[in-house]
Amino acid sequence: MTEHTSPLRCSSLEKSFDGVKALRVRDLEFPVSGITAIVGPNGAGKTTLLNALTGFVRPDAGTVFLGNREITHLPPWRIARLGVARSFQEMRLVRLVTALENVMLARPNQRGERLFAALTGIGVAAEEATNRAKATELLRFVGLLDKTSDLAGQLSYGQQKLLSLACCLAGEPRVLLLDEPVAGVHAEVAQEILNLLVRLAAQGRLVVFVEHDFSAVRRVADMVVVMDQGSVIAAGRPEDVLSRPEVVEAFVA
Amino acid sequence: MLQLFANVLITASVALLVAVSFSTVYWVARFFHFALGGIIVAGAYCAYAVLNLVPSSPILAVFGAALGGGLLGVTLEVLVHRPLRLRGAAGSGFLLASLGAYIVIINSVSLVWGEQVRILAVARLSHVISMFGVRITTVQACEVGLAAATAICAWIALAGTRAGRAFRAVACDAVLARVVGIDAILVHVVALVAGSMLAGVVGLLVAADVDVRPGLGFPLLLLGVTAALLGRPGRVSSLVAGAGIVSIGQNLGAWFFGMQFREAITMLILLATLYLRRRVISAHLSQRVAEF
Amino acid sequence: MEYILHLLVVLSIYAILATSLDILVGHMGVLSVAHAAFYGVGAYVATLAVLALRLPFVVAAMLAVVVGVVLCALISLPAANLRDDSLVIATLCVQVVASSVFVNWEGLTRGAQGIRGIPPPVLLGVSFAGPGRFAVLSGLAAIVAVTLARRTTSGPFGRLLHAIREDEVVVLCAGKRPAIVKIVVLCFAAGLAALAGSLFAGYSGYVSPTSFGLLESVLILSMVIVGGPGGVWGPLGGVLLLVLFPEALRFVGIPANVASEVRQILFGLLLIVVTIFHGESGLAPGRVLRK
Repeated sequence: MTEHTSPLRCSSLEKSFDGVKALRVRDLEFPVSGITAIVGPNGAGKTTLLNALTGFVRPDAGTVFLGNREITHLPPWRIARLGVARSFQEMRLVRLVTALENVMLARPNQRGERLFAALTGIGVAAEEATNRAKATELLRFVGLLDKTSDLAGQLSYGQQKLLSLACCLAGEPRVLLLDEPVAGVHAEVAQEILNLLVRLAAQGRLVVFVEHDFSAVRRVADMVVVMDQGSVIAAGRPEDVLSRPEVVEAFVA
Repeated sequence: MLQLFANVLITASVALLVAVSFSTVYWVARFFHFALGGIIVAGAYCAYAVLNLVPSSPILAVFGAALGGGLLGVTLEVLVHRPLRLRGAAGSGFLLASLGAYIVIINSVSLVWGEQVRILAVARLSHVISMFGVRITTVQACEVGLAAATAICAWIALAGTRAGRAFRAVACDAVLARVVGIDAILVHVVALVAGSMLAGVVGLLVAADVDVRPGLGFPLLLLGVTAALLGRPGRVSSLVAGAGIVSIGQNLGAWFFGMQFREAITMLILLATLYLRRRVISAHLSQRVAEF
Repeated sequence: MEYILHLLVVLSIYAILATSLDILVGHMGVLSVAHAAFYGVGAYVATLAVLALRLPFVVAAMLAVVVGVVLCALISLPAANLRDDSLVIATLCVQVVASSVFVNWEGLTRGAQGIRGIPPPVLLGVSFAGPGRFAVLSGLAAIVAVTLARRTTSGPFGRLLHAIREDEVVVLCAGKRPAIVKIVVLCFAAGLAALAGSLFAGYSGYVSPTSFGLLESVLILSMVIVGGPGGVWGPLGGVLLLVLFPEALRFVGIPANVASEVRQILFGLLLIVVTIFHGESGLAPGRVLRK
């Protein structure tokens, strides 16, 4: 068996909902690291692809590989533990707790989350201190250090997007799959987020994000995957792919 | 053997009637309409009261039961369901309020008529018919007849009439229905009243078959709810199938374990259904909240 | 004086029940109407352990807790992945089945007439008969139970519960398994309910099915809701209100033959009013959580 260097790839992936084919991807291989953008008109299957890659949707056919390991039918929590983090289009945070606690929740392997340790308290305090420090660090990284004690529900939309990103990073993932990380935010916040993505990619991670804004894609992405009606119609470098006639037509039509 | 089949048919009919009543609320508002048990009991006691005043008129008793049930249903809608909706309560809130309403109704009935068991005094109703070696009473025949009629009418209404199709649309997806422009609340209220009146009549029938007591409604409610939850929203045929399955299960179980375990068997059937069905629905992303 | 001590016993038993249910309902967002079923399991197991197996009370109570936890585990293993509304109905099923077993498995439970003559607990040679002494025992048990419950609703475990209550998907993305946590917490709460049941058996000397039915489950649930679910002292406030108020009614002078109905009508009305009052925030707090 050949050693695949790509951390994430899928082939012959198919998914239908109520008879409608939502996903029909033949072969897709993501680069080892860097930033890949997934673009496509509404309903192209971008979110479904993300869901299939992270275990939230079971494909009808096909395989997904993380390195050499098949992850096609693994449950979402398992895939998360293997170092794949994801965010959602609709913001998913625990609104009634603070930003810091949201990130602390996302920290993996907590002894304090087992009943026995919770009841006896053994080792919990020290672990909490460590996690608090790590979480604070992550909030500093995304620029939310002054919002540590604010409730997640009270943050602005852009700040919530940054918090989502911090939560994604809590598990020290190798792969980040972000669904529209800059949609609906102010230009300055969008720029902040994109800068963060560049830094994360520079650390050797694979960052994949779904995006509608072509200029953002051109600015940061090394690779673009264009989807339409469930399939990948083009993949390659932005400057090559984005001006192709079939790509333009997919968006206009 | 044939007697067993007849018993299954009778139980299934009662189950179907309660299931239809329950579904008129559940399909639209997606909450556990516990108070329906109270409406059934109220119908039985209204019939009892009417028969005490006008002894020889079963038709009037039926009207009394339907009227009582319907009025109670409307009262619940105005005093309980509507305020809950306005306050944005979730399905769990509706369930608890409905439980509270059931407790109030049952104990009010107890307060007025006392706890003791009474008999609906209409002699002709318990006349036994003997056919093909099978013995059923007139009342039981009425139950089967009414169930069949209800099933057919409901099926025609849902498929054939505009109001019915609107109802089915709301049953399948309340949010979508609202987008398309169907007044979900009006549909809901009309269905609620119809279902409540039907429930009142069910109370009368079962009381005539067995006896009148405050606890009459609960086992019937469980029976009907299990049948309804075995089915799919919007499909009358699935209610019929559900009623059939529950009835067969209950009667077989009673055969093996004894009549006293009927309720437990019904609940085990429901539990098994819930456990088995979860494999079909993907839990994570299709998180449906009581949208209504 | 003896009356007040009796009230203390009752309050402490319900404190255990309400606090354990609040972990489920208030903190994890799982509505259960089966709590009385495990209360009953605990009571009956402790009773049979003391009477039939001649075990000392403490051992009987421990056995009751173990049986409660094991039964709950068996029942909830397949239920862990159920959607919220289905889960509630599942608990209803469990409660009805349990009530049916309590009433109908006469060989084990002596059916509707119940089991009498349970001796008061004897620990280390000291007999805890009578309200005065038993209040010490049940009071201590309540303090321990409430303390343990507090440990599960604060810190990282509490944080996990609150996250499950709000959005299970967030928990999944963090690499954690809401289903397992739910089972663990359900069993923990069931164990505490069983403990309360064994205390009840030891105190009253008599167990019968009517004490452990759906109505009782709803009563305990109401204590949680009325007091304020998901907070710290909420359930205890609910216990105080829902235990003391009916006792107070006794002095108001409602005729004895309708007292029970009137009490229950008021209780039902209370349920309706409280759920309307809570409205959107429902059974989980819409207010800030404090550690």
